[in-house]
Amino acid sequence: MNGIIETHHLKKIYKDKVVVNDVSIHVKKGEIYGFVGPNGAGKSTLMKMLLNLVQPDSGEIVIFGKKVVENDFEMLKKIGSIIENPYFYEKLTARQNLDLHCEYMGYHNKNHIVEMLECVGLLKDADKKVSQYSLGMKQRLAIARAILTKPELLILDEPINALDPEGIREMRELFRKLNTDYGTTIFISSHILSEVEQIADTIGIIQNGTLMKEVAMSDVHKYQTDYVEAEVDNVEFAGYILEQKFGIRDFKVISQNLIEIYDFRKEVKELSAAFIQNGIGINSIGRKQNSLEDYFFQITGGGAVENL
Amino acid sequence: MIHLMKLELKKVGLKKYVLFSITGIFISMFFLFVGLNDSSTIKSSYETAFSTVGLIFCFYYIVLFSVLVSAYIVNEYNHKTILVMFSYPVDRRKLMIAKLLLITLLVMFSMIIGYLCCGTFIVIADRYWELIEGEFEISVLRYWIPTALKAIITFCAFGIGTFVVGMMKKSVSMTIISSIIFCYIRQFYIAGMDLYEENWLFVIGVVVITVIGVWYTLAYKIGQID
Repeated sequence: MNGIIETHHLKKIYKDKVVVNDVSIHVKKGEIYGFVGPNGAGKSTLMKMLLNLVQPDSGEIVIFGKKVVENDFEMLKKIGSIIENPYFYEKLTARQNLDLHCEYMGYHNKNHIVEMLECVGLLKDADKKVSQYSLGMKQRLAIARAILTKPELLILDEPINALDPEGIREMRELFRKLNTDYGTTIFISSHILSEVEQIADTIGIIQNGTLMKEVAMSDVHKYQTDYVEAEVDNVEFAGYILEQKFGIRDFKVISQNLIEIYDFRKEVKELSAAFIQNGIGINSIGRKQNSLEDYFFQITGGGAVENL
Repeated sequence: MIHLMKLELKKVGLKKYVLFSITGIFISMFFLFVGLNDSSTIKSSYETAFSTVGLIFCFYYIVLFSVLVSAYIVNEYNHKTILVMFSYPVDRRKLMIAKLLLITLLVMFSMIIGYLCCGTFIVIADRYWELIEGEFEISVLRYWIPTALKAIITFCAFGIGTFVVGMMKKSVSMTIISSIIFCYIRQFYIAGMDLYEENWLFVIGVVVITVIGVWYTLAYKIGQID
């Protein structure tokens, strides 16, 4: 069984609005699958369908090689999840919440609770009521709960929301460790593309309920090219200099003061010297590389910028 | 099922329930005393005294049931903790039935204690202040016990009815308001039929409608989480 999650032509309509449309995803065993898309793209709805929380209007879901049906909850034994926000019984302490989780999951190694709290840096706050936790602490606790029973599959909806940079780094390392040491398959959604880029093996890009692309990160990396980005006060003249002086035609004017040069026959210092000699003011110039963000906007047509 | 009920208890706890129950019993005794001591009306018999307990309990326990339904069930939807509950490998209908069963047992237990306390109170109060026409005899229990039984079944069925109504929109206010409406339905029926208490026909009718409502809710409403 190579595929852990497979969906076939999933569709979900809410009040005449198609929120998930003909989505077919393929998550392989042992990989980290980044599910990216702007807010309202349908990420959470799809994840809820995977967890049998929402029933699709059409299509089918296969998890662990078995078709998911409405009243089959057995597969949930092997899944840890965070959906939407970190929800807890606020009047209970973190330890009590995790204890309750173990009871419902039928997991009896309760010593693991302390280990997990330590793992997410909450051991000293374990006996505080969750209502006293900050959003970031709740998010860490939700991660601890999701991984507590050592699930085979983690379904994590925006798990790094509300975490500080240090927290994001720690959680990234934790997910990597789970993936490499225990072979946990991770299906993670996020709109922080730089994070997904660092962790995912495969990405699925969803927009307006439609899966735009499902691609291995290794293929995205092939697309990622180096270029020189120059922020100058006269892009037209800069373009003229590139063509006339160096014979460079492989460049692109991005905006009124930004130009990207893809031809590397001249060094950055030569380009900047030529610009200065010709009276072109330079704010910045340097080598850059296309990111997942660039790839994402190329796939989605850039229309989702304001939602990210 | 018992394990699931224990877990429910862990989540919400018993503190408020115990507090509400004890307060309810004392309030009932107070109203009972005031009602029996009213010199402007004719002296009550043991039968009418007991129907007064039924009237007070009707309002108190159906509302208490609805409060517990809100705390144990509706709030799970409002606070979205239901997303966590439903991600467990447990049949969701079973989870709901465990919650309902727990609430029903808690309210039933409280009502039984309430009836014992209020029944004892009537007998003792009559002995000291002669509030009731006639003497207390053991034969009175032949009337009291079935009356209490019918009331417990009816009030619990109405209480479960508040779950059915509350789950339509997953609304706490709808749950509580429905409890008050159910109290009035019971009172209108008794007044309309010129009875002191509900008859078995009414009890069975309420139970049947409630069972249908619960079936519908379990089949179509519990899974609606959005």
